[in-house]
Amino acid sequence: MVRLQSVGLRYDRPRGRTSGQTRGQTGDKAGSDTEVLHGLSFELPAGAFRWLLGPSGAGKTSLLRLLYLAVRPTSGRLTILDTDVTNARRRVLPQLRRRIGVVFQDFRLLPHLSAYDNVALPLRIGGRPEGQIRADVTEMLRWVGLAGRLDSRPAALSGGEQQRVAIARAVIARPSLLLADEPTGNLDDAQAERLMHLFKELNRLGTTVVLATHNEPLVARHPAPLLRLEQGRLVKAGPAW
Amino acid sequence: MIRPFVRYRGAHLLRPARFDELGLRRAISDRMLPFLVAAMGFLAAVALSGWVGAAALASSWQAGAASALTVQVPQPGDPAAQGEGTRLTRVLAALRAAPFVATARPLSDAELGKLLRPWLGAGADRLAIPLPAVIAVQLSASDADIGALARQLDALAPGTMTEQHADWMRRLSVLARSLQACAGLILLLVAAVAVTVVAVATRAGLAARREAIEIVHGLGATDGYIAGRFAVRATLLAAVGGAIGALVALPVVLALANIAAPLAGATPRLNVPADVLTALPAGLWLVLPGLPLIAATIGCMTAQITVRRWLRRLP
Repeated sequence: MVRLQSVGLRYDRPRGRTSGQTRGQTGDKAGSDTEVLHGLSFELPAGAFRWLLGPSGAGKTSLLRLLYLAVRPTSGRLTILDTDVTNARRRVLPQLRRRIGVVFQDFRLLPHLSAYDNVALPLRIGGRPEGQIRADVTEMLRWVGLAGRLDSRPAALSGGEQQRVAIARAVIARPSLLLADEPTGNLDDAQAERLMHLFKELNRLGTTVVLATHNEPLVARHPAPLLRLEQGRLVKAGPAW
Repeated sequence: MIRPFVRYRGAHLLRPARFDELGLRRAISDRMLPFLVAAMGFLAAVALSGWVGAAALASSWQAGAASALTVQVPQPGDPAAQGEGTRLTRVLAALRAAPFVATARPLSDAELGKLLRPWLGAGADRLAIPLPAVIAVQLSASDADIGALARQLDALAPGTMTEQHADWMRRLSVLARSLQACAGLILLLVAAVAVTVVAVATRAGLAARREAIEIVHGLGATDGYIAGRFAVRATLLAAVGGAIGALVALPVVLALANIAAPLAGATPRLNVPADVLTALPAGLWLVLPGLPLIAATIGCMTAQITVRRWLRRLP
């Protein structure tokens, strides 16, 4: 499903390409030739559920970026959804990305689209017929409690509402791999619990889930195997909690 | 019967036509690009009409040069060197007997006077200058042996000069071909500028929508999907620009055709400005409506290539 074999990641060019996505992770270190991940090796079987923990700057976001194919490893070997992506041709990656759902820390919604169109986007990119899209998207937004905000643009939504739109967009296409970076950061406890219920339900249906968080109480309430990163190295991988 | 089907397709199968996930309606403005393409289209239309017009002039002049001949017979009234009759009648008879001569017509005194007026003033015929007779000859074959004909005429009436118009017609023809080459060069330049304009507008759109593109790319959009969104926008705007340019150029081209008409004597119908359809060569009527199409093609291809090259920076 997902396999890393001594994967390393180096942001070697200090150009703007990856700005905004590495913020807070690599910080000012990303000048030139900064290896942010070193020799990561672990495996996630299909249907796994993992917490990704570690202090700020440990490389959590960089690891997630590798997993959702925003960057490719600079060393080692990376297999995503049973496809070796280390040297795969560029044109095989879009199909893989459609099977990966991502909830970004900064949501990354399209500001000029309504909540409905934002959530419908993965289905339209995948070429799904509009008839199916309407039913699925309406149902999904109703489920995250935004049935009355279908036509609202992100700017008109609160942080928590935007996060729920982002979550709806990540899971609308029933991904095989679901990645989330602080998915509960803007939610109250009740909403966070509801969201954990969704993630667990998706996981029960076969989706592999990796959640990066600082929220230790949440992790305590929902025990699962950990991936703990420190300074770009994996210090713990396994079921121990 | 068709309506429900179309509505069904529209409502259930196709993505909404106005779904603009990359926000390109604002990123690639509907003012600047059509205006610039319209300017290019206008220049292209004028250059094209120059091309077509110069080609028509060159070929009509070339045809005229190959088939026209002037024969001057000094002392036309004197008896011929061989046979009966005057020198003029013998030369005329020989010309008309030649197989490749279509017509041979001696100019009247009035026509001769008109030719000489710039040099001798009005009333040249009243001066006591022995004028030669001038015969205008139209050939029916362009590969005729003019040298043999000239020797034959000189034997009949010594001193007769046979002159083919080829020399100065050739010069005019070279001029027309040069004009044509210039028009072609201008067309190439205009096309290159149009490509650049579309490329710059596309790059501006890419820069303005970089984040949206990265998001859509991350959601699994292929390069073709993203490039297609840009290409649709660029195609539409370039086609509109091309159409405006062609429409604005039409009166100008018609006026130019009207001015050039007398120069291409072979096609006198160009003189009828009232009949707009026949006022322009048929080639132009094919090319002018084709301008929006060509502009659209340039817009589409340029946007596709520009976006696909840009996207290679994403993993």
